[in-house]
Amino acid sequence: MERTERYIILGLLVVSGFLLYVSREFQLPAATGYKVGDDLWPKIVLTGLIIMSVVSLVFGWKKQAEARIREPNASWLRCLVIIGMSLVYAYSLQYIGFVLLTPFFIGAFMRILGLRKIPLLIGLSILMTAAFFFLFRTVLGVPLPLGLWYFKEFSLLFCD
Amino acid sequence: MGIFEGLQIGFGALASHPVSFVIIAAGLAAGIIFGAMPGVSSPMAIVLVLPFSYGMETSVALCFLVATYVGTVFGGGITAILFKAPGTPEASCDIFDGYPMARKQPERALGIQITCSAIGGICACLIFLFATYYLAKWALKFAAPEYFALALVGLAAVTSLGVLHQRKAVISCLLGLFLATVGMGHFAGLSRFTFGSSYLAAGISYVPAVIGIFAAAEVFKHAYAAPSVAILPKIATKFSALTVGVREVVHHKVTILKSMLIGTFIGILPGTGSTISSFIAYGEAVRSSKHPEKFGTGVPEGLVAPETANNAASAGTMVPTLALGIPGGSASAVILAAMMIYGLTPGPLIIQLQPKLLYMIFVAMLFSDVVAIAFMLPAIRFFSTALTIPRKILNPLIILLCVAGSFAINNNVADVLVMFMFGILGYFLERYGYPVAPVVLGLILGPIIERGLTTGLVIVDYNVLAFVSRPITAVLLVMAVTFASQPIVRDILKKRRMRKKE
Repeated sequence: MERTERYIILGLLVVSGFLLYVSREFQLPAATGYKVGDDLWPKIVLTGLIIMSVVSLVFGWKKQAEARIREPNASWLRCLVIIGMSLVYAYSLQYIGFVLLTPFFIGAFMRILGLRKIPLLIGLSILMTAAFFFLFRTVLGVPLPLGLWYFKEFSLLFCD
Repeated sequence: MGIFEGLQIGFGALASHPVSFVIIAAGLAAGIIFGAMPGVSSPMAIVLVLPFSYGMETSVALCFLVATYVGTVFGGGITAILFKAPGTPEASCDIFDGYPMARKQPERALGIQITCSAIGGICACLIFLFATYYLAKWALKFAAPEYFALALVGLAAVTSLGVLHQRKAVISCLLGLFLATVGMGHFAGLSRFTFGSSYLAAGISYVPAVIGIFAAAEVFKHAYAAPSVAILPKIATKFSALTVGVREVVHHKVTILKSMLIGTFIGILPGTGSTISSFIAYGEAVRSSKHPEKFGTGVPEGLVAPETANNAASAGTMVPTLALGIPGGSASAVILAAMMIYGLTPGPLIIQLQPKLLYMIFVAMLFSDVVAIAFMLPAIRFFSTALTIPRKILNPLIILLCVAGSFAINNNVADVLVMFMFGILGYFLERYGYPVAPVVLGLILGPIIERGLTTGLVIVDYNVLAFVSRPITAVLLVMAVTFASQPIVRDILKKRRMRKKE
């Protein structure tokens, strides 16, 4: 078992224990006459998670982790930047809107993945955003986030 | 009533509206395209084409909607196999072996997918033409304890999914089951694990979770590894190339038959849907295989089983919808709502008063399954062109599909955030060898198990013995125990054999 995996399992054990403690709140009062409630199933599942975490730690502690083959171009930094960027994008969508935010997100995404030609990068970012906006909003009638305040007014310029 | 009589009535009714064949074909094409788009689920696709059906005659409109549904089940497999991004949840299981196979032989994988989808759908339609009345009557016997036991069978199949790392598969499954408990309780409606969040009060939305754990996780994986070479070889989109896969299906007759029966069985149970059937069929294929350790590497049985089962089940979900007025799945729930818009009351009365309409719908499904084969070739050509796009352009494209697909379900940005969260979860689970499919299965089966357990216990007055001794429940529980213990028993037997050899 890798060290990181060991920490993750330990974390899972602690969180499961905490959630099991929290699940006591979902018990129905005895006065209702029901012997089961909304706490029964979460308690079963969380107990199962605790047992399996302990089993994993006991049996996997001394087990040698399989040697990981490192890819030549692998980069943790690139992966973490993209994950972080995606979360920021998802959070900002409601404020800035799809039309204004997506070209920057897509452009940055492609740049990080290695697209070097700037004109192509800008062109593709705008084209992809426009194509998705048209397909989902106009063709399928599915709304995409418009944003708030001035951003919403900007997004509305592209609607109908 | 026999198959031929049913076919005759159905075809007669369809032929009285010649334009209906064109409309069915249009619905099917729309279904394939929507189905192939990750995030546009079957119910969503039906909702999107619903406005087009308003001007049609009621029976033709229903055939149009049903054809769209069939199309989504077909189309969902394309992007699951080629991009590891299931177009519909029903196609989630195609990823396990379809995607690894497509990395080496995409036309073989697509050939198998098309053929098995058609076989599953056609055979199930023929069975249901014959047995709709009797099956619907039988499915009515299912109560909460039976649903609980059935879902347990599905979970037990998870242990087969993780043959090599059963412990990790169980942890993944428990994680999915826990995530399914977030939100309103199924028994008393208490708010659970929401920590004050109004979004979580409604529970974790299943579709963004599936999109994230499969598609976004894959993009993150590529962001880490940055493969510079093309991920897939170019597809030979000629029909002759696809026949490689078509011919191969002949060698898996038993898997097809078993998966079709599983799909048929699960499909007619109200509320289960075809996603579960594909997982159970896959689990059964792994369990009964002589080389279970090869599953997940691109073995044909791993694609044959879920594709046959999910198409058989999609036909099956229409049985409780039409015969009982209880939707077989979320897509048929939309069709049920559409029937009400047209002034129809689904239920046993439809069989007695409008048998023509019932058989017309099943013949429309049958026709769609046959025509879908002809439609799939251009669809594959369309989607396979995307394979020539470099990863640095394709990955943002997939992420955009994920974002649009997640948002479109409830018009809620929080769903996009959930999609990315599940993407991160899926990425780390896969990195440390934890299978992601059990998480999804846990999310799907969790509410069914919980409802079955709590309501079932109340029904039997908290007598656990009475709960497990109901005939159908007992059979299903024995099946679940057998499924769950098989990898352990197999492991023990293997070790014994090795010791004997030494």
